Amino acid sequence: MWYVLLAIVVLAAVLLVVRRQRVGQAAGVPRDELVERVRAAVLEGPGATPAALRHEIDARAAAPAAVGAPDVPSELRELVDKVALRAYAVTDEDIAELQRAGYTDDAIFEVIASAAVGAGTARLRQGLEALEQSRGGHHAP
Amino acid sequence: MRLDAVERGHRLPQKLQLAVIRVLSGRRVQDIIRTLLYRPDFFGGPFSAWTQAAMRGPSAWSVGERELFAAFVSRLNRCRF
Repeated sequence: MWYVLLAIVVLAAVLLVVRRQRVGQAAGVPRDELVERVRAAVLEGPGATPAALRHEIDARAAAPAAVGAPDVPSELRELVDKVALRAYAVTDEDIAELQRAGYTDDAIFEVIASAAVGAGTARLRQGLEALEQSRGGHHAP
Repeated sequence: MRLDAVERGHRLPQKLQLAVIRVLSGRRVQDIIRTLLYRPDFFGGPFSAWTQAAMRGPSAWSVGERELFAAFVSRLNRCRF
């Protein structure tokens, strides 16, 4: 029993070190590039949903309240808007509805990640623009 | 609601990581960790690299200030920090 536990701890320590090194490799990479890597992985990486759908979700989540916001398939609209504007309001029923509509857990995970990335990067850009303007166009150090 | 896949659909290396975290902390692993370790190539890996750079990398703001910003934003999002 203790050997098993010890083996798990050692293995995990190795995995954590490997992970840390991978994160460490990102040191020195410009943050814009790190953001683009997140966007590329979520919006274009291999997944259960087509990349085109994930891009649509990203575009809507970036401007969900806008007049003429980019559309997504109707069954996804409510969840995408909730994740983008008031994620705390997502309920079990929102998820169950998509499951009933035939979406797998992986597909739902991808829909939520795409909406979060869309809303998140849109806000990040707005924040950076505001910062830029307040500095009179000078770049951050 | 927790997606079954994110609750217990992790691949072996991530399963082991979760097992160790559970043993060491003595309680259920937080959902944020479960999410980051689920299909890490798709989301958690690149997202963690970015978070690490933004929250701990070189900056004009201290780590404490950045944590405060994050806590404030979470509060506005009504999300537990």
